[in-house]
Amino acid sequence: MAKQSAKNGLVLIGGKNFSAQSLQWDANMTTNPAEITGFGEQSHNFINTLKSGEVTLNLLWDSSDKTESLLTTTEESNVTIVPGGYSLGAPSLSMPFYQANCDISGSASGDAIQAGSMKFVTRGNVGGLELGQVLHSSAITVSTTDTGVTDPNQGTQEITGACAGVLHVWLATTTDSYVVEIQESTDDITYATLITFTLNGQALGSERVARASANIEPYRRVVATRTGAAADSFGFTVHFWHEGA
Amino acid sequence: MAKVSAKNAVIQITDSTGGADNISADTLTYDIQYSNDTPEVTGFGDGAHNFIIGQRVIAVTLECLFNPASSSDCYYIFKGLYETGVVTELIVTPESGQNLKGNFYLTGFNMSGAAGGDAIKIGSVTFAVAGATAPDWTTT
Repeated sequence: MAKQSAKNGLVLIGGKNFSAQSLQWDANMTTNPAEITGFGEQSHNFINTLKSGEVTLNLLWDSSDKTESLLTTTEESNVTIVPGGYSLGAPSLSMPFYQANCDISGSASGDAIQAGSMKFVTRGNVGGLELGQVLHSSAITVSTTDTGVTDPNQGTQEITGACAGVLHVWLATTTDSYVVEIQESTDDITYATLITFTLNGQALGSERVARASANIEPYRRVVATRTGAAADSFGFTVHFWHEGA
Repeated sequence: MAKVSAKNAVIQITDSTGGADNISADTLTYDIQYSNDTPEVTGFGDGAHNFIIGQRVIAVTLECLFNPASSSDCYYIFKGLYETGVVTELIVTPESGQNLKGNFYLTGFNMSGAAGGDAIKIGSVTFAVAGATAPDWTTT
């Protein structure tokens, strides 16, 4: 991956894929620096304080259970963006949010209805936008064990800190159910469970599961285990974030 | 020296583990705020508004392209600095031999993409001075 076009970006909100409805995304993150300049110091200087994050999407109106659903609910949910589109381990941004505002507009000349600039603000005690990796994004029909991946900053080191996984179920099964896990490994051979989601694939939705502190091994993969034999399609995306670089 | 094109600027930065990286190829623009506070000290009877030099103000803003190719490219450098909050040494060289060099915190950035297919951007990457020592112009 080098410099990338935005054309393949993936935008998921609460288990729904809004990529085709999105014209533009903006993700803003700041550490809200506080000035600590004292007498005798050479210049204004600062320290970092509390992180905050905000996502703004410029969306087209789509009443087929898409943009309308964002307007009519105040449920807690997750927004996840994969800037360059899905590939295993690609950078992704995610944030639990409340939808704060939007600006619906239409004109008599017949332009497409705009759901406008929709703003999402951080919900809950999280560190703003979580800059992580996407570990899975496709539909499956059978139990699946994905390939392990690490991230460039962590390399092959174990780290300790908070972590969180976000599951978006964007294509629900009819009868089968699934258990979706994020597993970790020191060697990409022997894996253990790090995060288990409760969503079982039978309904659209998103879920964020966090661990306040964990030893996070360098390799991660997604395992989805099916119960049932109907082999109906289960479409989902998994984002993983950990504290630290 | 005469007027000089900006095209050969060099942007160097240390990542969250202290490694020195050159992100010039990922950078579109730099903006160095380098000024002094000028508190007004005009008193009764003075002939005009007048000022004294106060504290120095230095900040750097970069506009970059999203490049997640490796830990030494700009996305993972900014991510690491943002997540860890460690101090980075930033060196901006507008023209060969003239550097602004100092210690900074990365205080925020903005990522954006448009469906029209432009390159993904990391904009408004803001750096605020860390510590009591002011970044300064150096020559190399």
